[in-house]
Amino acid sequence: MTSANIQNSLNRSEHEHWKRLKLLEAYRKKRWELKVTNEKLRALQRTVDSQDVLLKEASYNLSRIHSEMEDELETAKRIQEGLIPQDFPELINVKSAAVYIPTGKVGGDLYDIIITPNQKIGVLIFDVSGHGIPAAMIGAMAKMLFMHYLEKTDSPAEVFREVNIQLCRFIKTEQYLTAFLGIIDPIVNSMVYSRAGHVPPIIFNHKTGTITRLDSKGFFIGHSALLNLAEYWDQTVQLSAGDKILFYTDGLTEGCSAEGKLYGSDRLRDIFMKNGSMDLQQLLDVIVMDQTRFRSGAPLRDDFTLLITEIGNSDYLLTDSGFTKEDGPHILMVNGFNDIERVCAMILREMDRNGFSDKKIKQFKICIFEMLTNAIVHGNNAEKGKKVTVFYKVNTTCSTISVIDEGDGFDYNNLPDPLSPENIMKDHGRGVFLIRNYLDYVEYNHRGNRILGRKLINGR
Amino acid sequence: MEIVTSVSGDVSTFNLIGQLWRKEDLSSLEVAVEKFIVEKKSILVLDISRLSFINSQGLGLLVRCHVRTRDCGAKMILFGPNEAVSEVIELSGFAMFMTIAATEDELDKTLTTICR
Repeated sequence: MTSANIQNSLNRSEHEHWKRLKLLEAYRKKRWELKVTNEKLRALQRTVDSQDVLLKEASYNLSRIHSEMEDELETAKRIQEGLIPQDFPELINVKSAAVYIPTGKVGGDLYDIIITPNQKIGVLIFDVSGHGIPAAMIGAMAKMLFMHYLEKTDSPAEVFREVNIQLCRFIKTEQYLTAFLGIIDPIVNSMVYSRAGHVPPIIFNHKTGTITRLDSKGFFIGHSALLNLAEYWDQTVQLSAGDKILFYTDGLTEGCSAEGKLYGSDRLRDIFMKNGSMDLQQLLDVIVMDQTRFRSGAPLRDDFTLLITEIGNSDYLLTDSGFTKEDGPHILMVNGFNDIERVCAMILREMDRNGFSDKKIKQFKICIFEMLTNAIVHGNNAEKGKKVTVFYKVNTTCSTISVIDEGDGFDYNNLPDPLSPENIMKDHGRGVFLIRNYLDYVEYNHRGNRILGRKLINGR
Repeated sequence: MEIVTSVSGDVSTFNLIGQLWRKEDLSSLEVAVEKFIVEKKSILVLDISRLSFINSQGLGLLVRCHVRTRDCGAKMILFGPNEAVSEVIELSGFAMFMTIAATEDELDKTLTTICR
């Protein structure tokens, strides 16, 4: 072997060695990279595992929150149901029926029938803008405010003014409400009403079979940006026996068919006019069914409320009462002893307002007690279910009260004199005696189940 | 109505506070008077100075109390009726058969006379 050959052989061997070193280095590098990748993969797996735990936790929390929200909504629904009357109070001369169709668990529609302190009948309906809990919260707040101010005034416009001022203070969102409030005098069958941007109710005239919309001006309530602009007006409408008033919220007329066509107020007017003579519940059912049929399966876009009030015949109320419609007396119903103080307080408050002296008010108080006690105990024999009807009218010259029981009457001409020696020590028989002594005028009806008494402001 | 009772020797005083017309108040007074009779005291003072209202049923009860105490040999005195109650009592002729003391002095004199 030549030295050249040996050199070549050495060079090749060195080259081979160098190549193997390179391969070894590459192998090591790859192994390192693999190790790093494996580390990364393990780290990634750990992250995925921990994210999975977090995801499961989040999913659990979400379902818990959802369940809590459902529970809260259910509670809110029950609270709202408490604000919607399930039964209307027994009213003098007026009947009502209503239906509320919500789209969700809670909504912004509310209504009520309220007997005012003067025994007039307040019909209230309102609709808060928006839906769900926010609308329901504002609705609850508004309902309390309406109830509060209806205790203070018989003017719907005045109630709206006060409620608007209060709600503007409390509503911090863009929400507002539309409302209609009518106050019906069950004796003279008139209704004083005010409209706060609400859809106008419709009256069905029983005699003519025609309908009228109760249009009037009035801003919606609770929008603080419009507080200074908001104004409300009272208007009066005369009603007759058999007339029906339909109050509703716009969710009814804004119900859409599957083709996107509105149910509309014209259709509502037509169906109301066509069926106006029906019984209240039937009429409600007919309207709701008609709207449902019209939508033909399309979902409701908004809650709706439908409330119908029917006016009765008030003539019988005043028969034999000693008052006429022109006198415009107030009417109160007494169901038992527990009502005596309430009735008394109302009449005496009116006397105080009209300038009667403290002494005369106290004397009249005794007379009211005697009249009502006699009517409950002797007239109605304290029978449950029998009523005593009280009419009263107070002005700046006199205070007049008429008390009617459901008994057979008594012989008011042959009452014993409680001051005679044979009666003075008896423990009864002084009621009518006190009435006759304290009042300036007393009369009975022929049957003897109604007493009318009057006290003059300048009398005895 | 509230009945505040105090006893001094042979004299029981019932201070009637409030209104006398409710069935339960009439019963309470009737029970209190029966208790007075059982205790055999001889003078019952009905202090009605803080009685703000009375109706004919309340008046009837006062008559019953008067008769009941009298029949048991005791004496009932109505003391201090205010203007409104005084008017009703007067109108009902109670002065004809009941002892009524309008003031503290009158009550003292009446008690002195009875106890003598």
